[in-house]
Amino acid sequence: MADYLVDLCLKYFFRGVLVMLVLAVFIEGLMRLDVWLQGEVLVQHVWQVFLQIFANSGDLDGGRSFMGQLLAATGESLKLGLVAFFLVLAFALPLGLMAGRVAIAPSGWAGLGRWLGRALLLPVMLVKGIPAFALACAVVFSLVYFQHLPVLVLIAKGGVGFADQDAWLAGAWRLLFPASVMALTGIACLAGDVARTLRIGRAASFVAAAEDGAIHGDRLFFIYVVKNSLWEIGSAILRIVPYLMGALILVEWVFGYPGLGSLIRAVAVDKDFVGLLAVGAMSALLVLLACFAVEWVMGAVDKKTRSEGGLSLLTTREMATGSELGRKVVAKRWRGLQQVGGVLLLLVGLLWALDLLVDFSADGEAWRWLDADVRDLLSAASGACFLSVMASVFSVAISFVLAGLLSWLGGWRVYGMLAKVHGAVWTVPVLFWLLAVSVVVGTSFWALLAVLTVVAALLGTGVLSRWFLVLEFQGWVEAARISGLTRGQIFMRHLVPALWLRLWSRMLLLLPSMFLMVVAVDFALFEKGAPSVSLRWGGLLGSGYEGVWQDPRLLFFAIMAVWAMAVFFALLARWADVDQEDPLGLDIF
Amino acid sequence: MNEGKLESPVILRMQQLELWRARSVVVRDLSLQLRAGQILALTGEYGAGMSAVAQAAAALAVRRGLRVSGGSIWLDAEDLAALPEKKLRVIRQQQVVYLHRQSIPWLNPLRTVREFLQEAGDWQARGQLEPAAPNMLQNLYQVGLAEPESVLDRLPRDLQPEVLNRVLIAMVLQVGAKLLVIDEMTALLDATVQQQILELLVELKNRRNLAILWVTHQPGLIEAVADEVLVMFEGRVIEQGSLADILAAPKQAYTQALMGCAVRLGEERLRLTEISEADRQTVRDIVT
Repeated sequence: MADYLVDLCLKYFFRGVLVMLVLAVFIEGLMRLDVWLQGEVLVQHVWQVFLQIFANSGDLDGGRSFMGQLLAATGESLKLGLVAFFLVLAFALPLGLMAGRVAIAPSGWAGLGRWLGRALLLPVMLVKGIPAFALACAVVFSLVYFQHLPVLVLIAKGGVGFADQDAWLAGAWRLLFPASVMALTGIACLAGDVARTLRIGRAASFVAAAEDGAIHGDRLFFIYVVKNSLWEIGSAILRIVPYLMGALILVEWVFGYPGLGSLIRAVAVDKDFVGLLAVGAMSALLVLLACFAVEWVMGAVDKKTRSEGGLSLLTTREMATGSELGRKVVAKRWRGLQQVGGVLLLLVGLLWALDLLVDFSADGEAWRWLDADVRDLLSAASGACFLSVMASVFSVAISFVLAGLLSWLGGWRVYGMLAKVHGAVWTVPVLFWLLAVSVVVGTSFWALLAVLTVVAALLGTGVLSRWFLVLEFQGWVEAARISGLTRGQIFMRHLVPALWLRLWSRMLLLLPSMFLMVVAVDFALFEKGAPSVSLRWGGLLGSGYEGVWQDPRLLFFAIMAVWAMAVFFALLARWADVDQEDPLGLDIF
Repeated sequence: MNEGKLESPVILRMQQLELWRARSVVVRDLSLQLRAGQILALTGEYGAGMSAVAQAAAALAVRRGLRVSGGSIWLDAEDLAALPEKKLRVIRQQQVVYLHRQSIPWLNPLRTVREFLQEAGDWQARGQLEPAAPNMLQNLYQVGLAEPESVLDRLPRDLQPEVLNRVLIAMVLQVGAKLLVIDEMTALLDATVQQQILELLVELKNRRNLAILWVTHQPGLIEAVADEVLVMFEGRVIEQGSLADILAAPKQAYTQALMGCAVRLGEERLRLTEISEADRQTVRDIVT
């Protein structure tokens, strides 16, 4: 255990150094870009100012100095984050176990019959299927909306808006409501991941052998499946920590909670680069500390975790030992329909985006009978769809080329390096990167398109690189090597066609999340008078607060529109037989 | 032995070969010779080092983590032990094909039979964009597929294991290889299909003058196809000779016991012969 702890400390020390390096390079680059765009001259490097702050960090000035603000905000966020984290564990683990148990063997205590079992599985699938951010938004907006109606007496403190910093929630509710909303994000992710992990664990040959030996029901599930999946479940818990941090930023804005999330937004909108570096570093530190704690606890309770050298957020070790490498690529018939389906999917998205399918413009004649607010919302949604579809297509194309190049050039070694940098980047919430870049390059359509594309391409490159790596381990690629094919031939004839099939499923995953990112950035930048995105959905949510929230239809339409888009793409993909991963987990239907 | 083949050119010659994997020796002092139009069977118990020999013969020693620490492996006029991986790859493309028990699961699930054969034929049709289609059909016909057109555009999952084995052998013909190395390729097939595939191999050996190095743990199959037999034990060759000699008068008690394990159709026996520890110890004493 002592060796494990020493390894863990070293691992997190180096990871922390890498995160700081990535952050410093990023913020310095951003500052230089801003100075260049403004036509000014750079006076002082960001790290010099950063060091000055640390040199004077002893003087907290009663919380009025930046350091004092940062520490106070960190304390608040820590409280909120911890409550949310334990709420996630309390709900997601039992839910995930239950879903996994039902999916694996609908007998024993979970033997509720086929349809009852499915009914139990449905909430998990739905929660997993709804993009987590949309779910959180739904709850946040519902709570805000309910302020205006005396339905929930508990929180009806009068007509104070979410943008107001005054406490409209008092006492424990002030902590519990935002934490619950954050927890929803985590529960959605973790419960689905645990269920998926258990389904993969069920497929292990030793589980089948045990089943052949007449071991079944709960004994098979807990002793053979769950116990052997602890490492993977631990990794899944680890992965939700950065997600929770991302949710923290958004939820704090909405609830006016004085934590790190509010501070990130404030320094970003003020273009305070040193502040950005400090807050980014602090949020990364919180993520690293939380991950360290999870790994330590998992190492103490699970021998496999100790022997494998610790859990992993996103490292080469995880790639090498994770269950994914053991999975075979699904053999699907390469049919013309798939190509047609893929093209059709793209076409429908683009037509929709370009308002050609339905004229969603605010002054569209066909929608004259609707309220002006609803027409505005439809128009904004349509525009945001256009942006997200364009960004998805570009980013997937860029990711494919980049991941292919990495695979071609370096294979394992390059991938190992990439995975470490990738892990460092995603230790800081994605919304942080987006917001920081957006305030510098502006939030015009093309600027936001470029930013979203780059961020999504970073994410996509990581995912596709991993898939290139998985393919490298397929037997048929080894067979091609045996038969004497060159690396280039193997790449073009075997790896690229297989990856091409998977691309469409990545696109389906990217579309809804990109759409939500647009809304989030627009929403976040609205209030401080930053140049708002022309698409205006996020802006509309902010500016139309007084008007929009008085009409319940608008609230539910906004949320359902997001979810409907995700479901629409998933069903279309299923019809066209292009989804191999069933990205939204809709197999319940 | 097939007397007529004595004059055929030697395709594979191993001399005093010693192979290491990591820190342990897996094959010692092995010498063998395989001529065109001949089937040499390597047999023994699991762990005797036969697969290592097969992989070395198929120019795969480096890829499979084997180190040649002594001796030579001559394929035609080239010493595989002395060649770099780049040249070994060209040899695998043009001269030798390695088929093993995982060959069928290792077929790319996204490619059709036509694409497999095109790929295999590329080396012979260098400079041409497409290999000649009649050649492809002819090869499929030669391996016993009566309607080759019907399988050309099928994926592996659409075809029976027996057909897939025939397709694999058609790929050997498409490559135009001189040497075919088979490592337990038929082990997972049922007895009838196994018999058909073995008959096909014998037919191709005779018709295409193919040299076949065949690794098997089933002594009963040797009688059906082998011209020569080489018995291995713990990385060493303990007996070598023509099929008739090995069957009629094995020199070692171990070989006799091993051949006694063979299951033969139509033969009534209450139980198979058992290889005793005494037999093993005798062999150890002799070879060390």
